[in-house]
Amino acid sequence: MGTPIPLPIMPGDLTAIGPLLAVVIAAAGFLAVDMAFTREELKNRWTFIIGIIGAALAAVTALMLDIGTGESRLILGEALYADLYTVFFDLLFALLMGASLVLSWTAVERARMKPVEFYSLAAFSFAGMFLTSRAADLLSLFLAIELLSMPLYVLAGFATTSKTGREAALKYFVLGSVASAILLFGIALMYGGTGSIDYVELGAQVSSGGRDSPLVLAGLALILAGLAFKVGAVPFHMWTPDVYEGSPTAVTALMATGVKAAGLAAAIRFLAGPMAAALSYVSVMLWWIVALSMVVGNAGAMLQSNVKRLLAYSSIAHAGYILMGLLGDSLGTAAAVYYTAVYVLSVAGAFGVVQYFGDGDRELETVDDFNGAAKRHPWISLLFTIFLLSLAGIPPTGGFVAKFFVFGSAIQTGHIGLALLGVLTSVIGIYYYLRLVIAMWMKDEGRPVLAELSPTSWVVLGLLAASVLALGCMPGWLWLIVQSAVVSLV
Amino acid sequence: MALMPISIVLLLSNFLSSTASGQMLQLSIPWVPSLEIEISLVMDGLSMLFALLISGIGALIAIYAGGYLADHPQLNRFNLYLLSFMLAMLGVVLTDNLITLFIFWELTSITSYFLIGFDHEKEEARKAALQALLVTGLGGLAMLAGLLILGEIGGTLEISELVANGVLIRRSPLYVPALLLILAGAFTKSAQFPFHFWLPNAMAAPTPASAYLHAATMVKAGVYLLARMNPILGGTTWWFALLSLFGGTTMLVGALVGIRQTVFKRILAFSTVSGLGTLVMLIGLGTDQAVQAAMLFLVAHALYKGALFLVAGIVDHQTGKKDILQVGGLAGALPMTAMAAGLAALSMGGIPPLFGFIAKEALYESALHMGYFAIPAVVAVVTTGILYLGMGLLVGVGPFLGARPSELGRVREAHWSMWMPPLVLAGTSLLFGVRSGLIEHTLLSPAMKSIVGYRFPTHLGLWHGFSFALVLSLFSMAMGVYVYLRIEDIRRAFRPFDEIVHEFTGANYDRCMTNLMAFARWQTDLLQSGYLKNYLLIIFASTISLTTYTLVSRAGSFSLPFDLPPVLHEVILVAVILAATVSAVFQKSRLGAIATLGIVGYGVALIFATFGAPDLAMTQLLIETLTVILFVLVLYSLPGFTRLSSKGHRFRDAVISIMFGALMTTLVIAALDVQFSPSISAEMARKSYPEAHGRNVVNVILVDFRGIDTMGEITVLSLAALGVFALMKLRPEKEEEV
Repeated sequence: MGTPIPLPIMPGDLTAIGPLLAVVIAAAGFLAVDMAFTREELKNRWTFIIGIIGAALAAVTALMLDIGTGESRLILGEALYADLYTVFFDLLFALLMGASLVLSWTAVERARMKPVEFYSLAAFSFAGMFLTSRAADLLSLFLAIELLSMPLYVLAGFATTSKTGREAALKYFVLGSVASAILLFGIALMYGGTGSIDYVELGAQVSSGGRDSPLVLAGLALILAGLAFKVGAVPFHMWTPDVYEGSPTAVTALMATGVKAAGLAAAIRFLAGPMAAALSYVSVMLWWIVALSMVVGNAGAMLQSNVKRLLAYSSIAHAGYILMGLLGDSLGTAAAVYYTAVYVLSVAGAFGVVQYFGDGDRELETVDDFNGAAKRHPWISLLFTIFLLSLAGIPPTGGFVAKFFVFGSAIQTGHIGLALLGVLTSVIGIYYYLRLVIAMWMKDEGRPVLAELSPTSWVVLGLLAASVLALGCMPGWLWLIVQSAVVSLV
Repeated sequence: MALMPISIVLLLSNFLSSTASGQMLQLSIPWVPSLEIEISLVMDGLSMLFALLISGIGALIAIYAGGYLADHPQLNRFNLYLLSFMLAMLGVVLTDNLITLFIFWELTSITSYFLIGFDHEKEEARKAALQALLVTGLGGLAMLAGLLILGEIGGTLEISELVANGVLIRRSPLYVPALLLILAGAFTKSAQFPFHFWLPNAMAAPTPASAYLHAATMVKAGVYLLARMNPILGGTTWWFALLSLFGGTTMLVGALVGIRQTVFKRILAFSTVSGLGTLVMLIGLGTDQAVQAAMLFLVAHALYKGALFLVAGIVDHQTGKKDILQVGGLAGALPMTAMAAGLAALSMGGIPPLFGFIAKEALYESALHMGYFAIPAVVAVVTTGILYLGMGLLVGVGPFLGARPSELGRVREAHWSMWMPPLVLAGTSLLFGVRSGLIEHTLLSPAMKSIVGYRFPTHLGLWHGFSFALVLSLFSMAMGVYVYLRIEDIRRAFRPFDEIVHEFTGANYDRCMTNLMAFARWQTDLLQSGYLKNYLLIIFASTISLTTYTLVSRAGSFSLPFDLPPVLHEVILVAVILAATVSAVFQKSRLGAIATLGIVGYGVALIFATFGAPDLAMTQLLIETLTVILFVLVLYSLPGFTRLSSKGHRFRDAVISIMFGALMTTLVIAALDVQFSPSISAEMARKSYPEAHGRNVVNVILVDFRGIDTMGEITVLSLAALGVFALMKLRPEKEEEV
């Protein structure tokens, strides 16, 4: 240790983590804005400007990455990856950040939160999300997941004055900590079994017999359990309905989109990458997680009258559909990634719309509150309908294509029973999503109030709806990108 | 409005000469090339027949709807739905790709959902719409799974290419699952018993939609699929048994239930169910004669049933009555309508010289040639034929004859746009009956070729000479008239039958929905209790079972290294720790629990000390002290424990905890066995003085080699302390219980 160890930063590494840096800088910017200005409107204006610049910068730097021939590149002392997969998720998260800034603003203010505080915490969480897709060892993975979770623990209980809100925040924190502990224990065992936390090294060991080690298997099972918690898959899902309902809607939107996508990005990278050879050993476990998620999520959503709770349960089911892709071959992995993108866009849109309904401090809570929405606000109801149809998996939306890819790959790899279960539970999905559509279009008695939408909000919602439709009508291009992104995982 | 369907008809007729000669036109546009999904259109005899029915009847319906819904404020919306439906339906019959077929199939379900629920102020309409969507949607998705399996075993998703691999597919072990799934789609869409119940309920739709969807087109999509699949999946015992059994049952049940209805549209709905059953049965029988009969019946049925629905709509529109018992003697007031109704009713009853007669003759003929099954088949089809005539007379003749009830008031003939379409349909029945050659070679026989794969000679006509089929025909005509005359008695006699059928079908749907709701409630109550402790319990239990299962099923043997014999003071220490742990669990106060946990911590510290790690022991002692103090500071003001759980729950919790502990302990002990690299302690000791100028190795490691780690630890501890301090400051303000 006499000779100084050079910092393991190579030229080009900084570009490769550009999106991450952009978001962290934006987060610091938010804090600076909070201190620099005293007048609320100045704070708000600068928060918005900095946030949008941060999101745009993240997207631009993501696109600047030279992905070369499609091989994964290891950066920063082999702690992180830089490849098409990270670019794909970077763009998704950058889009989410922009959408959150534009669409959640009203809801943030309605919940009596200060935008600058909300977005600075959210930005740190986003930084964690940008890390999840690029984690190249188990410590980076753990750090990423903790970084994205911690601000959310705060946000969940941050502005709530209600008892359910505080209860939700506490539950989220306690259960989240338990899940982190399980994840960490799994990482420790994995290290104990292989002597490495590097994905590359892990992959080499696992495929050359390491998968028979009990420590590796137990570690894998525990890591899978910890990740299942983060993506809200059964039987680690119980927090979702309570927390989604109890948290301010802006926070719920973040959980349903970003957190879920980040958990999935991490899970797909880890399971389809280094653990690919061992995946067949835990396939029974994965099978049950998928099957239970679809059944419990959809059956639970059927009963809900609260819209946030309904979306929470349905998000459990979607986690099941997405994980089903991991049971297949590389096509299945690609299907899972495709589904994640479609799900995130649709849910971001759906929550975007929900956040605008309501008057004064009150949000629309139940399905019946949406009665007659189409008569008074036909355009936004149309957008909402597109998002809901996509979530229900009805053509010609992206949701259908995503389900088709996932079921198709399950059938091709012999999981016919699971695909059938997926099909059956999708019908339940159609049932409860259509309840909202029926409420909006076919019932006339209610008069829901809509907050004023800025032109930017219209643009963002319109873009989301257009992309959901585009993914349904012209799935070819994204499917090609996703396929090449998935190739770089292995 | 009608222009678009008419132009489609004209467009289609351009290709008529090619399809008539047995050619197959193809056009394909890549959609998702990497998955071989193409928007490939195909046009052969079968497609042409269906496409002409869809667009031709579509044009008439569009004209009719203009009159029927003239006063409706949302006529445009109706037209939009109708057109979207028509395009989706054309997509179903023109596509060659299994996946795009499914997409169009589901689109017809969705658009029909909006059409059925068009009068959405009515709760009944909304409910019926949802029921239809769920039943056909469920079947459709099952069909998707079946189609994917079919694509998997056939090696392609193009129907025209699958035909070549038919033998291979029928021999595959996955043939039966694929068949069952595809049949689930076809049977729900084409309202086969016991899934037929949605169709009569769907009569809540506006009449033009009923006529179009529920008589002429959408419900025939299932029949189309079966016909299309016949060269691929047909010819096996499974195919024959399932189709003829379900089809035959549906045919009989529909007719028997239909005859005792009194509401116009319900009679027509049940007779449609019966007609669809007939078609499915005929395709299942699969003989040349049966296929011929199927195609004849398909056209005849579309013509007369469409006309009768439109007539029912006119009667409803002009008189406001929906029940056949409430109307009579309308022939004078509605002469044009009456003419259309009479022709259509006679065609339905199979009276010469209408097209329905030819279809019925073919039906009887094919039943007679069924070998072993001839007798039951003939009994079934003749019974159905009798009831058809009865129903036809009830709907198409009864309301226009006899005395006119006085409460009807003045009735005027409908606008021409309403009576013209049914008259055209009924007139076509007559035209095709007299001149069957018009469609025999252009449409019917190319369609048959698509189904069976080869062309066979057909000779249609009203007169085939004296045959047994003709005798049966005459017999059923006489009996049909008799049924019509004695309808009161028949209604009485068949009353219990209705309920039995409902018990088997619609009631099952209700029960399914109730059970599904109950299941949903049960699992939500079970998993989503709202109690944090239950959530934790489930998480731990699942983690244990998943991990244990993975280990037990996959891992090799465990070796647990216990090479050092235990020494007395170690045994005592462990005993103390265990005792403290157990007593912590049973403590009645928080302070007691914290104190006993402290004992555990100090015990661990002593263990470190005895194993030659004084620095760790020191750290552990300090941390443990700090933790106990922090705990005491935070918790001293909280109320005492209250007993919230029963003995059983505590026992359950104890079992889970012990299992979790045991699992973790086992894994940790197993991890001890692993040795990767040589111990680093010697290296540290060697470098300590020369590099860091310190003789105390532990100090050097803490403040120099691992200096940053130590700083991090210090920071974390101070932050935690600050946090606790802040919380304590906040306490007086927050009196409310959390």
